[in-house]
Amino acid sequence: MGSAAEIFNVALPSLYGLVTGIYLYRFLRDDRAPSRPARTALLATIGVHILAIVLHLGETGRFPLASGGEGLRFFALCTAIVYLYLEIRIRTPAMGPFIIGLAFVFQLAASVRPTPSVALPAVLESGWFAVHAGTAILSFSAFAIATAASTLYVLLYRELHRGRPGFIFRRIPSLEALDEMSLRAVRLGLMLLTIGIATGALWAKDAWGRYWSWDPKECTSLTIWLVYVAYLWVRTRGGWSGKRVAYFAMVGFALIVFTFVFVELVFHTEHRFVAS
Amino acid sequence: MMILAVGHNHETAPVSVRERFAFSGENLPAALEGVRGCRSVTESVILSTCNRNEIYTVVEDPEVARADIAEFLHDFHQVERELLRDSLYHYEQEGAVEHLFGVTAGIDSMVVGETQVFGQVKDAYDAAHTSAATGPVLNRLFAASFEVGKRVRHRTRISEGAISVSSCAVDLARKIFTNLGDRSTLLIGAGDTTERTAAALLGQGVRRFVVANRTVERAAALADRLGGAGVPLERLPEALRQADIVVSSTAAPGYLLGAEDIKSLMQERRNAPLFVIDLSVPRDIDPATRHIHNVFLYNIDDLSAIAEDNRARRKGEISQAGDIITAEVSKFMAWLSSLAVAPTVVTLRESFETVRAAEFDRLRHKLPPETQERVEAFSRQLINKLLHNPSTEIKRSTRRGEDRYLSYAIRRLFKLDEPGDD
Repeated sequence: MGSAAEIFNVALPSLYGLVTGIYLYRFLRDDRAPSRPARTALLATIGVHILAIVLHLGETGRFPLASGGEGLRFFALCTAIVYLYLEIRIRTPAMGPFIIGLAFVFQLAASVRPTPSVALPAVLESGWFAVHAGTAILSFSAFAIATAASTLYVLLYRELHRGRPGFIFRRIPSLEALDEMSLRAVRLGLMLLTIGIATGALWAKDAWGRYWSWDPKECTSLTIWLVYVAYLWVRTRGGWSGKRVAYFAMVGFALIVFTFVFVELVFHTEHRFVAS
Repeated sequence: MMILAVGHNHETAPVSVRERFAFSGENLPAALEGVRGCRSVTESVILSTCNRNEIYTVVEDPEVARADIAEFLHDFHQVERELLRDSLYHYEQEGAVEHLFGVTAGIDSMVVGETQVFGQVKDAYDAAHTSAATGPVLNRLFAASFEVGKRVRHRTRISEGAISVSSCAVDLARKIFTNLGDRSTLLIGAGDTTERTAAALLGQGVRRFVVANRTVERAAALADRLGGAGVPLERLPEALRQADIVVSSTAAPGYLLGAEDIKSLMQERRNAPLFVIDLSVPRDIDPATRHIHNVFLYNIDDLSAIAEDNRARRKGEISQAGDIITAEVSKFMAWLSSLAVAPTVVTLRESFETVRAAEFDRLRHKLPPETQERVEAFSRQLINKLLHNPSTEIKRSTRRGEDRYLSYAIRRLFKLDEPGDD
């Protein structure tokens, strides 16, 4: 690939790292400095990232979603965009260091494992592909945000429950707001993941002749789906609340990281289309 | 010319003294008139709050002015001369500027960082301005102090963190629930303590109150004031089921609610979060309740400790506020010294010279070479003549103590200051 790809390979993680740093600085200082610099930096970074995708599209004629590294990178972008929307909605940048920090980690991972530059297998030329991979990755972004909200929930809960509110207390929104954010993000994520799995099945039928082949990644996706369905179930029917559901969301996300990293590395899977 | 602040505050004078010096809205115009009558005073503002009585003035001779202001206070408030001598502090020039900035920013207040004083300073200034007691120096000084007050509030955390038990309780409630408007509060006991906390919650938008008390009449009376319902203590379990926030302060000798009661209550309410504030001594609610999931129990000591923490944190911000104040003081002093006579005369001459040179340049090539020199000499002579009277008059004004005002007027009329400087 050309040098543009190499530049972005360094520039994107650097930019995400910088934005994380700005958010983190603001979070630690909490000097009521305007949130504008952080948001502007985030907007610029998203802009550069989209430019990178457009250039890639122009160069290779395909959307960069085929390899693990490209998936991670798109994941980072989705997370940043969903977060930006959220920040504007809930009017606090307090979650920024955590969520953008996560996007940064994924950018870094993508750059460490560079994208192999081989021709695409025919199976990825299908129109289903963008919908399938796109929704699946967007759903992971939503789950990531749910996890960040849940983590903050647990931290704030512990301070409040111990009777000595302090560092976290002064910096983040209410328990109820975090809880609601987590719930909304999970609902959104589950909806997207359902679409992702369904389109994947339809596409598999089209490409390989069967809907479901118990591929390791299919199995973990199904597990994630079940975990978050269970999350919604214990909340609405099981009478769970507070810290317990927050822990639940965190465990669910640990599973996603497992899919991305462990399954990708250990198992042979149909979802690893490009030889490395 | 000098800025002079005379007064006392909660640190230098007890309330028994402060109340004797207090100015009210009614007698303020008369008092401003009285201060204006003092010798050598040219501008004045009177600031009178429950924590301080201060007179800010611009004077020609601070010794004369101080004596006259003391005399005025003696006449106006009928206070003994000894008391005046012992209880008043004086700040001059930079000291007075720094003091006012500190007062406006809330670092001189009894409760550090309180913001009420900002409004009080503004009112004091407005009253003086309306009575035409202020002039360019105090106008500029107070405008600068409002800037300092705002800046300190925004750039430091000096006004953050609740410092009373009831406002701490409200802060906590706001970190548990997003919208207090759709939360119900149960008050156990109808005394002053619960009422104070309820008032704080009401101020933050809580609308649904139920008051449970041993005597229903008192419950109903408090409930009426809050716009809620009163119930007898026997119906407590029922009332609890509806509540998200519980405030308890009764004289009961033992626990009104045990951990088991709360545990079964939590099951009934499907573990929805419950905020319990126990302000009683001895306590009304079993402290073991603290360990129940989604119950947030705070007793009077917990809340006092938070308030104390916040007080300490505010004090920790004073030095940062001090940095802002120091910077603004030197900015103001720079402006003040620009009003001195010598630099004003120099700047005025320079500005005339700039205009003259520019106009002559435009004209020069239209003139025959032999007349150029003569026209230029003429133009120089013209501005010298024009500037002669203002220059001598402004120099003479120093003796009469009007120099800064004349400087100020000249600087404004001829736009001698950088744009944005004023």
